[in-house]
Amino acid sequence: MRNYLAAECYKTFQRKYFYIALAVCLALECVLLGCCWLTMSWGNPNITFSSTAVLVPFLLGMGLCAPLITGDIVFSDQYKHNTLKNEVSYGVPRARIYLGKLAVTALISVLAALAMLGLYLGGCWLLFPHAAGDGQIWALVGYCLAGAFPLWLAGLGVVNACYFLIRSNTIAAFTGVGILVLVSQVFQLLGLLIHPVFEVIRQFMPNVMVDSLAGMAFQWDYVGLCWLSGLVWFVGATAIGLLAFCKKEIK
Amino acid sequence: MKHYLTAEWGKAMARPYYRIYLSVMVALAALLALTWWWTGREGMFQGTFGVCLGLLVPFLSMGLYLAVMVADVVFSEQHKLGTLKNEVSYGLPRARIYLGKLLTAAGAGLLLAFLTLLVYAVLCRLLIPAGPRDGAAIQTFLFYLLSDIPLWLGALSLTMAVMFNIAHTIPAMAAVLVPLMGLGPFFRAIMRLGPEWLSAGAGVLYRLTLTAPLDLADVALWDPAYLLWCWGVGLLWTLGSTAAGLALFARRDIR
Repeated sequence: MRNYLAAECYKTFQRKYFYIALAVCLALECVLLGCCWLTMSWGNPNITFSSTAVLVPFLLGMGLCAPLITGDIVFSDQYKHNTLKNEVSYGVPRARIYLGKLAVTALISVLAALAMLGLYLGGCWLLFPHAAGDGQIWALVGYCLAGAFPLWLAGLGVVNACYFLIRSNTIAAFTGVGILVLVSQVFQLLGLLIHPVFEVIRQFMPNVMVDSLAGMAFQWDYVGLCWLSGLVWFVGATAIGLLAFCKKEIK
Repeated sequence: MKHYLTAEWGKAMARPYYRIYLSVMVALAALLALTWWWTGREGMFQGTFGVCLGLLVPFLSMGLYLAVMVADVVFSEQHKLGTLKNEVSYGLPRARIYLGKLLTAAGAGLLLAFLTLLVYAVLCRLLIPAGPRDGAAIQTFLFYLLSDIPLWLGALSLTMAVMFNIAHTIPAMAAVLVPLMGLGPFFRAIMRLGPEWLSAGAGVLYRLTLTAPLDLADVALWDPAYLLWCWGVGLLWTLGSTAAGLALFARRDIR
């Protein structure tokens, strides 16, 4: 496994894809920071560290879909290039292939998240005026990140399973987004129309939990619930993905 | 061009992808109609046929994203499979390849939308009783449908332009979906932030995004200004992205 992880990491960090994707995201953050800074310099008094940093809890939902990019960086269209077949027929155990790629995806996702959060929060800290309530904002950001991390892992598990099981990248991506974003809306409709139990299930969907984190501030038992739900999703999706991948015919 | 269109249409229809996509959409439409019927029988839903059509209106905005998949059906990852290179090196003019695939995708998408809506409407008509005010509801539905078609075509053209010019599938998807979903909220945020002139500029740009007409909740029936807005924005995106996509594709190195 160690050799496989080293090889996957080497491949990922040698390709330009990771760096380009990260650079695009960081550039977009710089645009956002620049816009805030411009309006501040034009005399908008509402732009402070706390008013810009407070955007972080509301943008955490994007982290659910970010594995679509990081997963693609690691999986790198192996069905299309027929390189997955090479790996399998060379004799690498399928579990090692699946879990190895999942681990490397998790690693680069965490790295990218750290870089993006660091740049944004650092930029806010340096550029905008501070006030007394800043400690509260740091606490809120920390609370939301603690709750969002397992939910991101859930997204990672689902997306990785989609990439391994569905040959077409576009359909894999749409299926991943569908499971992570649209299913909760269907459940909402079913909860209204058929039975309230669907609404209860909806409350444990990763996207619903990540969106309600900011409103649940400092109820640490909700973070515990996020960890429970996120890990159940992650383990469930990985188990389904791994079992199906072990039986899948690789053409 | 006629031969190219025939060939592309035949290829798109012959692939299981399109047929599966169509079956899933038709099944979802039928499921939704059956949900109204079932909840009506249980006494929870009291609507008429017209109300059922009205309930479909919020779903029409999904057409923007479904159009992305229609483009994928026709384009079928030709960069990855190396088949776009075959077409180009065979000597087909690039404009014919580009426009041929775009027209085929538009046709396939409209057929898909028509069949899905037809199944839904027929099932609702058969299962759910008509009401006295259904005429107005049907007109409202047709009005929104007519308004949304150019927006769908705009999303389809944008996807085609990106797919022809970005060889990697997932970055291409990101390059389509981020502007499609993100531009509207972005301009709305700018409208609230900046000084007067910036808010006004962002307001104009916001009105030019494909999602802006869909954000409006209450529109008067057959409001000509709304129709003009939708068709103007839709055609602007269709023509603009096609011109940009074609110009870039004409110079692109196909590997």
